[in-house]
Amino acid sequence: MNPIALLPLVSALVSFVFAYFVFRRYLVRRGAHLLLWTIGMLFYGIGGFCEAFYGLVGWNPLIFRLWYLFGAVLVAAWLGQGTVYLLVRKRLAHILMALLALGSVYALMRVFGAQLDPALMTSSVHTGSELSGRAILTPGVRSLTPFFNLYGTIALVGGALYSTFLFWRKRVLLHRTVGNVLIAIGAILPAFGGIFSRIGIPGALYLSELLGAILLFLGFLRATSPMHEKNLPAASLARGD
Amino acid sequence: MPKREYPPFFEKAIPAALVIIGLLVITLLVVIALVFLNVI
Repeated sequence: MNPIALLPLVSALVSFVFAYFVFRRYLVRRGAHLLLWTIGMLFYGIGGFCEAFYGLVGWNPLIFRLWYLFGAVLVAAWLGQGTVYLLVRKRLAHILMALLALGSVYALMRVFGAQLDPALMTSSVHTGSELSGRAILTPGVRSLTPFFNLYGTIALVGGALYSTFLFWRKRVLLHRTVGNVLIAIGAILPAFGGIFSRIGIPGALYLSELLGAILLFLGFLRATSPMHEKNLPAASLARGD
Repeated sequence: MPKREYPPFFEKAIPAALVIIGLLVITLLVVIALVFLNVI
C-alpha cells in the first residue's frame, strides 16, 4: 500500500460530507449555487476516491478516466459555476451554465475515448506514485484542462475575494467575510498543488487537495453560521457590530 | 453615528488576506501562462 494514498482518501471523505451539508442546505433554501456546489464537491470526492484507489489497489483505466474527468477537468469549473450563479445576472449565468454543460459532455467524450499508457506517469520528475495526466496519449485531451480550471478558479477565487471585499467595505456580516477568505484560500490551494506536482514535488497535489477540501468546508460552515454576540470581543460589541 | 468596524484583529487581517490572495492569484496565472508556453 502506498501511504500517500491516505491523503486523497481523507479528501474524498471530507468532500462527500461537505457535499451532504451543502445539499441539505439546498433542500431547505434552494438556489442553483448550492446545487452546483453539491455537484462540484461530489466531483472533488470522486477525484479523491480515484487517487486513493490508484494508491491502494493500482492502475485501472476506468478509475483513471473518472479521475481525469471529474478530478482534473470538471471539479473547479462546476464549483466556480455555483459562484457565478451567486454573483452575476441569471441570464448570463444560464448561458455560461449551458456552455459548461456542453463543454463537460465534450470532455467526457474525449477523456473516455483517449488512449492511455500508465508507464508515462513515471518520468524524470514523476515517480508514478500519484495519478498524472501524462498517461494520456491522445493529443488535445490534456489541453482541455487549463480552460476548465482557469474558468473555475477565477470564478471561485475571484467570487470569494469580491464577496469578501464587499462585506469588508461595509463592515457587515463578519462570518461571511471570514468564510469567503477561507473559501478563496481553499480554492487556490489545489491549483498550486497541481503546479508543484508538475515540477516534481511528491505528495504536493494530494496534500493541497486535502487542505483545499478542509478549508472550503470550514469556509462554508463559517459563512453559513452567523457569529453570535457572545463570540465577538467586547470592543466590537461596543461599536455595535 | 460611529463608523462600523470589525473587531481589531479582523480590521487588519481581512485586507492583508485580500492582498496576499490577490498576489497568489496573479502568480498562479503567470505560472499557468508559462506552463502553457512550455517555458516551465
